[in-house]
Amino acid sequence: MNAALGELGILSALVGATWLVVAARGEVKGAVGRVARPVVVLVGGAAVTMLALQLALLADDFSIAYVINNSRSTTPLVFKVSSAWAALEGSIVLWGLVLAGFTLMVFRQHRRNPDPLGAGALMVLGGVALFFFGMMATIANPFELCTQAIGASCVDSTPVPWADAIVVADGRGPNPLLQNHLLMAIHPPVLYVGYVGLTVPFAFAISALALAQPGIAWARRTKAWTLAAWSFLTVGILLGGWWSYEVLGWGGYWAWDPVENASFLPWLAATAFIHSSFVQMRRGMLQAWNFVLIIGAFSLTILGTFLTRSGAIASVHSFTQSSIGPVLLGFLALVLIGSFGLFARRAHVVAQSPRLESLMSREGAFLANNLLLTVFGAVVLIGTLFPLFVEAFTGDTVGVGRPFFDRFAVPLSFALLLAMGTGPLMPYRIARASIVWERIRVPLRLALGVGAALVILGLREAWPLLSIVAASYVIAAIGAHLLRLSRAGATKRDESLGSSALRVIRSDAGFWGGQLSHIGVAVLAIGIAGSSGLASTHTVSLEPGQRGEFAGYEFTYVRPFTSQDDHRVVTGASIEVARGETGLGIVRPRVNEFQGQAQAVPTPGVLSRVSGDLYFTIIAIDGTGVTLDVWWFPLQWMVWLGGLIAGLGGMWSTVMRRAGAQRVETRSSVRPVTIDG
Amino acid sequence: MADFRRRTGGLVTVVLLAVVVFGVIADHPTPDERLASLGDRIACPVCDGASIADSPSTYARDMLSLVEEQIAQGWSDEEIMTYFEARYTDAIRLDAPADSSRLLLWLAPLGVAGAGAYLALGTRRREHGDA
Repeated sequence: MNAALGELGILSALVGATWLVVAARGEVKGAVGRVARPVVVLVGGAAVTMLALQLALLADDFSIAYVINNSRSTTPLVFKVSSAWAALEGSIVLWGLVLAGFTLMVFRQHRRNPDPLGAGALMVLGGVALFFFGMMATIANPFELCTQAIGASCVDSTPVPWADAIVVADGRGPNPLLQNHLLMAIHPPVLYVGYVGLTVPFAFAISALALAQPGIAWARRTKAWTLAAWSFLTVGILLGGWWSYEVLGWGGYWAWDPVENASFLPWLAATAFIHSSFVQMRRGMLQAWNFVLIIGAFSLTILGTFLTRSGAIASVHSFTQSSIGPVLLGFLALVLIGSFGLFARRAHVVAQSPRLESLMSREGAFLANNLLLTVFGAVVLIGTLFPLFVEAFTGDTVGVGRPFFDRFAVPLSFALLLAMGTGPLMPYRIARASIVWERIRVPLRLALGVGAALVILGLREAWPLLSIVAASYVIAAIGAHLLRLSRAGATKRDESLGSSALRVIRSDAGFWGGQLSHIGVAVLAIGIAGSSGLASTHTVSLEPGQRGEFAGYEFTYVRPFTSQDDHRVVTGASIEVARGETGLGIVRPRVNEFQGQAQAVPTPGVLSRVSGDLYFTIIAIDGTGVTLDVWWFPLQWMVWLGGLIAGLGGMWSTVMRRAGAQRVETRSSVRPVTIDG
Repeated sequence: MADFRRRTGGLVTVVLLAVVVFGVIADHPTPDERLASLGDRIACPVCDGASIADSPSTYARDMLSLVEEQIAQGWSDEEIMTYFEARYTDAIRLDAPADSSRLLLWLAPLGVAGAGAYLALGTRRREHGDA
């Protein structure tokens, strides 16, 4: 029943997507009002597909292979819901649903102002949807009925919905790593909204190229989408790091794991695109480059899906192995060849941009930003793919790990922070050195003051020190900029500094939203410098009642504890933490053993303070004692807070820009857009 | 007066910069820091590419203890890396040293940086050519 409903949903979405491509093509050629019905069919189909999958999971429909292999009757409700995107087939369903949602929103915008550019974008969106629902209907079908099972695992299945399925008594349950924390229910959807959101600017870019109207209309119209996608991507990556920190218990949140890199690469490309599209909007420069960046960003989301879901890379994220790899790779090749082929054919209309007058200018800073982000992206891309290529061609194993990435990432981030602090203070066109120096003098001195204070307090770590100085410089420069503008306004209008500051922020909300993101990134950088650069660790074995000491904290192993609910057995250690005379509370690191799964999963015990996190994981525990890894992560909270502020800044810009974007849209649909400049 | 303030300001900036530079130069890794950094550079041979610092397996723990001993005996970082490389092949190195087999890995980012800088500067040079 659920399977039949699901197959029906997939089929409807397929029909809707195909129909949308045909109808949108008609609208590009001048017809009107054709795309409404196909969009409704596509969205309805996608929603029914997800609904059927949820119903099957919630109703313990153990005739469906996906439900057997990813859920269990005793799995808690929230993890049954999140099981819908915990494995390959389900994650494609989520992808399809998000894409359909975005298509609906683009359609609603298009309906108000129908034009060929919007119709072309809908055609591209339909094409992408066709691919993903096509995968769902064939090689990644989440509704296959189980025909052969070994124990609680389904090993053979059929896509024919009326076949005689065997019904298994109970399922295997989710991967233990995925049923251990509430974040698993939130992290994937947030990340997917970011990932899939990048399809919208890509669709408009391809439409603009196909229609030979480069200009800036496509980027302007999708500005809000890009910013929203970027914000979700930022928060999604952050939640992934948080999940890793709270669940995996290896003592960290970022390991340059291929799958982390897979989400970071589109983020880098999207960040570069947001900045370079400003330059095009303000000064008409970098037209061709913006096409390259957005095509790159979309391609990297497909590459990311390939890396995550094909099992090509041994990683904690590659929970599945399947035949989906070659198909995704083929689609990636199609996107790259198709997009860049089209780009090359339109090279003559992607006009020669107006030139840069001086490198010492806002444009120059944007160029530096793009250069640094591109090199950063190249490092992450080659570092991630190099082991794959070497293994594919020579069969050798080559490790490319944290030391390689850090060697580039740390200095590049330092340079990015310096550009981030200086760029927004520079005028457009030509910035006289004296003016720039006048503006950065005080922030620079403040930042050096912070650094000098840390050195006097005993800090002797080169990169953490430099990163904190650079990040303080960013925050101080933004503060000084706001103060300077508010002061000028306060004198001119004879009002208080506070209300003048509010006026300054309101008058250019998009810019200040961006600066809020910059502050977030700076806070994040300080958090990383502390929690990664200055982290320390210690292994200790304790018997009940025994005391250990680390990083200025004392901790006593009070007693072991065990608990059992209907889906797992938990064994843990109660540990009392104190500093000097002050008791700070009890932490309970534990080990979870889930029914139906062989692998035990540790859950760390974390004591968070303003100065940092004390983080305990159990290495071994038995009747006589416990062996613990104890970590000290200084300023860990700043990582989470910084990422959140960065995401909020992006959201704020999105909301604040909407009004402006719509005005521009109306204008550009009246005036035919030709080449800028 | 303004001139005086400006000069003092400049002096303060220079002094603060000097203190920060001193902090950077005075960075000498302690044995614990060397252990952490070496632990990141050596792959655990039995745990799917995780480093011996990240992996909780007994095998990785034993290797990490060995590194700790070697540091205590005064071995240099390179001596320790060579020791493990000789026993477990080159695949054990997670720091991917720039040698002939990894030339592309190191040249590609540098190539992108060079090409990017050339293009970025080119946007300016063209203007001079036209003018």
